Parts: sequence; C-alpha cells; structure tokens
Amino acid sequence: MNPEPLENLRLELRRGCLVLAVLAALRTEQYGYTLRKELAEHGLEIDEGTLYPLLRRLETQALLVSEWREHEKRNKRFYRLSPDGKQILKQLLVEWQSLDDSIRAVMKEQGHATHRTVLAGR
Amino acid sequence: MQLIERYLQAVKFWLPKKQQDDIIAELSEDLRTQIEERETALGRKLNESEVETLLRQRGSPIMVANRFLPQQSLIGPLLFPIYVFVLKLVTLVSLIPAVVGFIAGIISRGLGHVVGTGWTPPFGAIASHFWNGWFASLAVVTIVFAVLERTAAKKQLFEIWNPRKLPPLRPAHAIPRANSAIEIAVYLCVLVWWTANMAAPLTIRLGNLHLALTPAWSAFYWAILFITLGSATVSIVNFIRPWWTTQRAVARVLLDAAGGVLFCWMFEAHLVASLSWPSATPDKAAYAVAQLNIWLARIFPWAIAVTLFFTGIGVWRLIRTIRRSGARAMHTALV
Repeated sequence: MNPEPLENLRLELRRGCLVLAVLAALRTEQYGYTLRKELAEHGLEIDEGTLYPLLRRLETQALLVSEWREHEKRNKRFYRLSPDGKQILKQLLVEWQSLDDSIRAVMKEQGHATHRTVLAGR
Repeated sequence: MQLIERYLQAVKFWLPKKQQDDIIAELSEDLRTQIEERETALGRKLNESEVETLLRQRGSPIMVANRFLPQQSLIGPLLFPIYVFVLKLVTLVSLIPAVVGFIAGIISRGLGHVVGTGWTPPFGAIASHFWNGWFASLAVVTIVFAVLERTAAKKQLFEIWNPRKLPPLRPAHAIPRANSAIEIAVYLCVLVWWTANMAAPLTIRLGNLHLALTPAWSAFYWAILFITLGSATVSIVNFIRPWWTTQRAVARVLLDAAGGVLFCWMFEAHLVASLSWPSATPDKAAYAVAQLNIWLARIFPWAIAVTLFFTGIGVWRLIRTIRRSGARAMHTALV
C-alpha cells in the first residue's frame, strides 16, 4: 500500500487537533520550547516550524496573549490563553466531543451492518 | 557559534521587516534552549557537525521563514482552473496565425511553380512570430488573473451565479472542438496544396527522374478533391455542432470508404504514363513504366486490406453512435 495518502490524511487530521491541544496546554502559561516538550510527552510531536507560526496566528486572532520576560537569566516569550481563547477552547472541546461521538456512532453502526451481512451470508 | 548566527540571519532575510526581530529572537531562544539541553544530556559542548545536523532537522531557512508568512500565490486555487482553461484557449487562438502562415506558404510555392515568378508573400513571417505572440498572450492573461485574484471581482465571479444559466447538458457523444479545429486546418492545408500542385496534367519530379501520369489522373484529381471537400464540410459542421449524429457518422463513413476505394483503385489504374531520366533510352523507360505499374498492381490487395481495416473502424464507430443515440433517446423519453 502506498503510505503517502495515509501520511497526508494523518497530517490533515492532526492539524485541527494540534490547535486544540495547543489551546488546552496554554491554560497554563509557558514558553514555546516547554510547550513543545509537553505536547511531545503526550504523543503530539510538533516541530518548531509549525508551532511558532501557529502561536503567532492564534495570538493575532486574540486567542492567546504573550509577553517577553526574563527566565533563568534569559529572555523568553511566554504564552497563555486569553479570556476569548478560554471561551473558544470550551466551544471547541464540545465540538470535538460531538465529532468523537458521531464517529464512534458511525463506526458502531457499520460494525453492526457488517455483522448482519456476515450472519446473512451463513 | 557562527553557524547558528548564519542560519538565523538567512531565516531573517525572508521574513517580513516588521516581524523580523521578534521572530528571530524567539527562534534563537528555542534553538539555544534545545542545544543547551542536548549539551547537558551529553555532558559536553556540541561540535560543529552536531549543530549542523540539528539545523538540518529544522529545515532550510527559506522553508522555516515561509511558515511565518501569510499564504501567498499569484493565482489562487479558486481561479487556477479558469486560468488554465483560458491559457489553453489562448494557445489555440495563437495557433491560427501560424496555420494561416503555413497555408500562405504553400499557396505561394504553388503560385511560384505555376507562374514561374518565385514570388513569396510575407505571410510566412506570421508563423515565425507565433512564439512571440504566444508568450505575450500568456503574460497578459497571467497579469489579468493576478489582478483579478486581488480584487473584489473574484468574489462576484463565484458568488453571483444562477443555476438556470448553467450550460445545457452535453450530448451523449460530444466531439471535442479542438479535434474538429485541427481537422479543418489539416483539410484546408491539403486542399490548398492539392489544387496548387496536383492538377492534371501532372508531372512529378524526383530529382532527375520525371514521372508523367496518364490523363486518367484528372478523374482521380477531381474525386479526391471532392472527397476532401466533403470531409472538411463534415469537420466544419462538427465544429459548429460538436456531437455525432447518425447522418454525420454515415457521411463520414461513406467519405472514408470512397477515399479508400479511390486509394485502392489508383494501384490498379496504371496511372504512370512515362518515366524519364537523363540516361534513359525509350526502351528502358517503357520497361520501367511497365514494371512500375506491375508492382503497383501487386500492392493492390494490401491496399484493400488497409482500406477495409479503416472502414471497419468507421463502421464500428457508426454502430456505436446509433446504439448510443437509441439509448439516449430512450433515456430522455423515460425521464
């Protein structure tokens, strides 16, 4: 099987989930590097070339706020969820939950249909 | 380490001026934190080749910078299919002067031959200007679409539409107009060349060899001319009404069959009247004529086989057209 379609679909599926994961992780303030590590620890690898432009985009959309601050004798940019971001995150989580339920329901129905087909074939 | 500074400088070059310093500060911080972490784990400083590997993993400077830039394209995905369609159309239209130039060239050669002046009209230059015209047209179309992409007109183009104004359903067996256009151009060239060069009495010159045809050639000349005219007419009608009808399919089959019969007949018609070359004696020339006509007659069965093959293809297309027409009519009646 050609792995390319799977890889493309996987990336497409992850793209939307990553936004949700980043918003969720930034309920607690952190800077880019620690955020990347936290996501990786939870199985959501994201390279810096994707993360930083995404953070900037979310900040432009007023879902995040950031500030440069000294930390361990170095200047780092800290991000956290804005009040708007908190609202959006809540709504997105509901949406995500609803999508998850729908997909599970479709899968369950398909499973029953397959089971019925197998039974009918006997 | 200088390698990191050079990398960041290269990334910075591609970033928008207003954001350059901010983005580079953040990327630099991320990169240094990663290096420090690696150095702590190894218990030593990273060497230059390890830093190089790390930078390679991050991607080329232009690729990294590109992710911070807004999505940019000269012509966006919405307009792109229309852009490609227009380019194809422009290419087709640009070909017309080239074809006209080509035909004019043939005519001028024909006139030169007949009148003996060697006069060549300047139409041939049109063909040589094809490339310039084509590139200029492509540039203009690209600029127009690039401007359209950046104006409100694009929105109107896609949002203001009426389902009732959509084109009518295409017939079941459409004929691509491009095919008909090419056929018309080819038939025009053949007609011009035929009338200018092949009229009876005909003498064909192949170097020093002169081959004269019998007066019977005149009948073949006119028959082929009429068949070509008929085929060109079918192509013109196909261009105007681009779908096969039973009548047109029958006409095309009959014309092809008539062409095939003529083609075969030519081998049996002993058309070669005389042959001459500088060292030829009358006996030798007469013998060569007889031999040539015998060999042409031997090709006759093969010519029939080729003709039957192509006529068979035509008949098969005709049957398919009639069957589909019937199915379509039945479908329309049922709907």
